Amino acid sequence: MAALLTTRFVPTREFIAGPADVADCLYSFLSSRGTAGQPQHVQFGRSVVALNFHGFTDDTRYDRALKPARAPQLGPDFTIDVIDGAASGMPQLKLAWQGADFGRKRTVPGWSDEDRTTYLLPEERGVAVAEWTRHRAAIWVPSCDAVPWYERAAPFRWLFDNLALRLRMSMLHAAVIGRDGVGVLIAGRGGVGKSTLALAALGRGLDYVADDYCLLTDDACPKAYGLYVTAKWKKDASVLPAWLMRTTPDALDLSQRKCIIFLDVARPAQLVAHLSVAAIVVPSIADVAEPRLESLSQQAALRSLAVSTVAQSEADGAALLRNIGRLVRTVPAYRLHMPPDPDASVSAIEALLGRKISEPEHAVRH
Amino acid sequence: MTARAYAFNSADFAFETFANEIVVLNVVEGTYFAFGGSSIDIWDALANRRPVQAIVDATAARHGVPARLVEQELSNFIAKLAAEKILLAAQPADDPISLPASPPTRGFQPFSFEKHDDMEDLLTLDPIHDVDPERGWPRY
Repeated sequence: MAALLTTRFVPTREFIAGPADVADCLYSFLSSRGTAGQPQHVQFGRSVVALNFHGFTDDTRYDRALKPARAPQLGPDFTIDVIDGAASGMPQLKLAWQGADFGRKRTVPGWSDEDRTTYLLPEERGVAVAEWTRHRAAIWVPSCDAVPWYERAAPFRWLFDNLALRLRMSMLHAAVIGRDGVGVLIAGRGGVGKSTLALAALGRGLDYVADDYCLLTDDACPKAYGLYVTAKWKKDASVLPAWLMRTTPDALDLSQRKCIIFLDVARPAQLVAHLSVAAIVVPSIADVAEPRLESLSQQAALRSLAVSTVAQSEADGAALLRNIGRLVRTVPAYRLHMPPDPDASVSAIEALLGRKISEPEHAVRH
Repeated sequence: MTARAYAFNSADFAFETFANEIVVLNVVEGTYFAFGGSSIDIWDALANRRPVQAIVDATAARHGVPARLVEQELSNFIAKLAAEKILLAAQPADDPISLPASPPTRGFQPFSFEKHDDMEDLLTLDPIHDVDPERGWPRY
């Protein structure tokens, strides 16, 4: 490692003209640098992604929140190389992009096409290029210190949005919980109680896939896969499931005041790879003594799920909306009127799951 | 009105059609819209460059209502859609999508239009307007 740290990379041109050149530059640097050691294979729905961290140490790399691949011996479907610029000796690239090239998200539309997507990572002041037909992406960050906590808690979400669609999945802004292989997808914008309900369900012994983001397959009987092993909750939340009040978080996201826990350690038996989606539940805190489920129209379910998903996604919004449209026509949706105690609301989810598991057509599915 | 036609702005919007509502989502800004009433029956034709006058005539005939009434509803509806850039002015299609011809199951209903922008704050990044010419890196 010491020898590698002395390597200085000098870009051949002062300003880089476009995404192909950014990719050339990053991969030329990686070639000149040699291998990063054994890649980490992580599970990405039904697929496997290989991760190579360059210049990072075991303490600074940020793949802890991802799930190790169930069959790491299989070749990866996609490879991500992450470069710590300071530790690797690769300075910030000078890029010939202009203000008009940027959009409202991380994707840089003016520097993206069908085959390549360029990303600006504003918090890190980093840059990334995904080359979809070559099944790879390279990410440059100025240093490991520039990687924010939310990225460490849910790494590469901005990249995974697009990758998911290309692998016939959709990355949704939703929590997923269930039991016996059957789950409900909990949808709604941040703050409606998705994570709180998912964590309360975890405390009551239900299986857990995700508290914030999941991967949905486009099968006739859709499955939701978990991507991250982390669960998050607000440090100053006024309402918390009882078990979390007794739990010491593994980490704290100082910027968003969110507590983070690694469930593969805290609750490994309940962290399942995937569940078949049998219903969509949209929580809403209400002035009720008991939780109550109310049927929700397809279009209301679409809005609850699609708007926050698409607003935050870097992927093709029309394709996402189509996939979500298919989902809401496939499974029923409910609004869950939740009393202030989130633990009390889990009983409504358990009752719903009990009905779904016992339905004959569902037995056929599984 | 005869030559007017419109195309759906698929670069910035996507939509899903349900039995009694059309949901349109601005995939760039996070705003969304819900349309109802008899707009559901004419949406495909309107969004696919069928001349507006042809839509008015067909809808009035199908529902047995005065063309003037349909024209007024449709003009107001189009004005809102155009203002939001959901529809863009376009040349009429050579082979336009047909309008429903079967007898309607319900009477002509006013076109409803709702806009929701409560999700705009989910967009976490501010627009970038310029780049430092020395460093080749955006200012924000």
